[in-house]
Amino acid sequence: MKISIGITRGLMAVALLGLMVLAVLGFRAQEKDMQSLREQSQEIIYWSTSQGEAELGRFLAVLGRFALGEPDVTAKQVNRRFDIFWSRIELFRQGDVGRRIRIYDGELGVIADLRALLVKHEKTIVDLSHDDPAELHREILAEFTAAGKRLRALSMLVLGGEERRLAGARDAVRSSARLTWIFSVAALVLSLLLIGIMLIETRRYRRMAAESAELAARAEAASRAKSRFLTMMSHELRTPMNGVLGLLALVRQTALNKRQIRLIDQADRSGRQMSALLGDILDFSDLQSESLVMARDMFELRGLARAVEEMFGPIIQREGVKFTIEIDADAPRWVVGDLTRLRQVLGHFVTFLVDVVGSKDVRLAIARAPSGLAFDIDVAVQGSDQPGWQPEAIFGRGSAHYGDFASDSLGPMIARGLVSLMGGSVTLLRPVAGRATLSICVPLELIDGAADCVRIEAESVTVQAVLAALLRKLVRGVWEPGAANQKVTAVLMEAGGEEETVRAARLRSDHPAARLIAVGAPRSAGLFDAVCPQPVTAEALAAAMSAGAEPQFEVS
Amino acid sequence: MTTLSTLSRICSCILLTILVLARTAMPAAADELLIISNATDPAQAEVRFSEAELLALPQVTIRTRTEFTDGVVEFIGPLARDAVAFIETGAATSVHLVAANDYAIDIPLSDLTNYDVILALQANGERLTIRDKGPIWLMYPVDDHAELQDPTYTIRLIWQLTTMELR
Repeated sequence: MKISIGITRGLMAVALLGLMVLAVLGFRAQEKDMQSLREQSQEIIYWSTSQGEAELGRFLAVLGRFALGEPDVTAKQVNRRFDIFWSRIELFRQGDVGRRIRIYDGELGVIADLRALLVKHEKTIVDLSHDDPAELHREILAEFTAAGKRLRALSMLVLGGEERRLAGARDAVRSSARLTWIFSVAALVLSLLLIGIMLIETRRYRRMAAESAELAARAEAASRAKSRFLTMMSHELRTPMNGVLGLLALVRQTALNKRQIRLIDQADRSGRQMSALLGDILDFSDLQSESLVMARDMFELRGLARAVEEMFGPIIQREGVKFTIEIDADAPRWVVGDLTRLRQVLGHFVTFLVDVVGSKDVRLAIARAPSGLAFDIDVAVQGSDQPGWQPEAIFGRGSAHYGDFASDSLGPMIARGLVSLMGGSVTLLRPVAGRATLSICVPLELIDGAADCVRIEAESVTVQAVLAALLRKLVRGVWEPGAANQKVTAVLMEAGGEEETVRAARLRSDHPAARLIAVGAPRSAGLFDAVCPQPVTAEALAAAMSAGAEPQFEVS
Repeated sequence: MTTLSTLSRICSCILLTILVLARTAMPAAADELLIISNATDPAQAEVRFSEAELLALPQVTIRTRTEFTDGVVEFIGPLARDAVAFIETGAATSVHLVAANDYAIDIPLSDLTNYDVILALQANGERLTIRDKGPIWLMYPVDDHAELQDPTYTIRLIWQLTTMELR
């Protein structure tokens, strides 16, 4: 392939070079043409010498007739012809035309002799009279006739020379025309060659592109197959593992001695680790296939902190790690985002810092960031001396590269992927004074002040669960007993029963600004602002909550 | 400067008018150098110019090279169109020029308006004689116009000019 590319490029270079050479040669040929044209454009000097001959003939004719005594020929006419012939000889002595004629005249000296002859007989001609001796006129005629023969010889010389010059010019034009034709054909051949080479190149590039696309498609298909296999295997492994964990829990309820309990605990821990690892593999697979979707639920920030704390409770206890969580006073109470994934992100990073880096002191600070929340995990490390200190395991190569990582870095890798999916960023600050900070910024919707929520008042746990699930699509949160900063905008009360009136009155009293909505068939519909009949659907619930008021709820 | 130029033009016009009137009234002079006639209008009398009359017309200078002279030559003479103005051009489109040596050529009448073609009477301050392409040499401002540097115009530089016949 490389040899083929080299040959093609070489041919292209040769073709281009050839075209350049042809262009230069064509220019030279054109210059030659121009020169020939210039030469042909010059005054034809043969015309001048022949006109000289003609003028001499006219002069001799008129002088002869005068010498013969013809009455209609005057001395003035002879003088006029003499002067005109003189002007012809003068022409040979001036300008470019004269210069070229003189070249032919060379050593012949015809021009000089004619001029001398004119000067010699000037006085005689000027004073010409019929009284002059006849011999004088005959002498002049004889001398000019002899000079005329020499002028004729000069004319023939000029004629021959000019013919040769013009023939040369014509040959030059013909030759340059032939050259131009040859160059044009050569240029055409080279152009065709270039076009051919370009077509071959284009075809080759197309083939390469098609091969590349096919390879990419194959790689993509292989990757998808691998991911599917991974997901399937993870599911398949997790199911028996849950069975093992369940059985271990059952065994723990039996009468066991201390050694057996310790062994069961160890088995339980190993099983849970295995289960967590399978969960990580599933997450990794989802990240790789970009199939993870972030939830948008309202949750209490304190609840997130509690969940993280609970996650590390056993480790803290077992490993003797100091783990603290601080929520900044300025931080909002409620947040809209994916609680589960955020907990997972923090869990992965803290686990890595404790288990792999080996830090015994971890502080998680949660504070308001410009576009969300900042989670700063501050840990005690010993810089590069710390055996597990591997920043590259957290950051890998590039922003989210899933192709190459150490086994320990799976957790951080998943965490980084999740943060990236949330639109956030992870920054690891260089250790200073034995402490390093991993800063995670995640864009989240922060809710300041009281959060709008709906209170569900139902006897049946199932009805409660159904209503909570349906409300998730309509409102930010569900009222929780005892929780502060909750602004109840509506109360859903399961209708019916003996104490319907009492319960309705109590709820009205508890939430005077909220809309009271009956779910089911109320005994006294007048007690409620709206009724949502069963079976409850999202549309019916939205309609009931908006009835008699500005529509605020839409089912999406 | 503008006033002088305007005065000069007015004087030239008056002079031309006087000359036209005089030309049409005067009989043919013995020392005439140039005869202008119009073949398209045989009823119209030909106009004959003597050396003095040509010299009386506004003189124009052309500095140019030709294939028949050495270097740049300063030619002086009246504009050919000023001389032709003495006759009604009528339907004429060309001028048939004849020289004393019987050389003849036709040129477009438009040449006289498109270019400052002169009837050169002097070359480098000397009066042109019949022995040196005189007494009248039709001269184009060759060096001033690239298109005039062509054999088509070289052959129009007719010397020893004697007659101009509008056709």
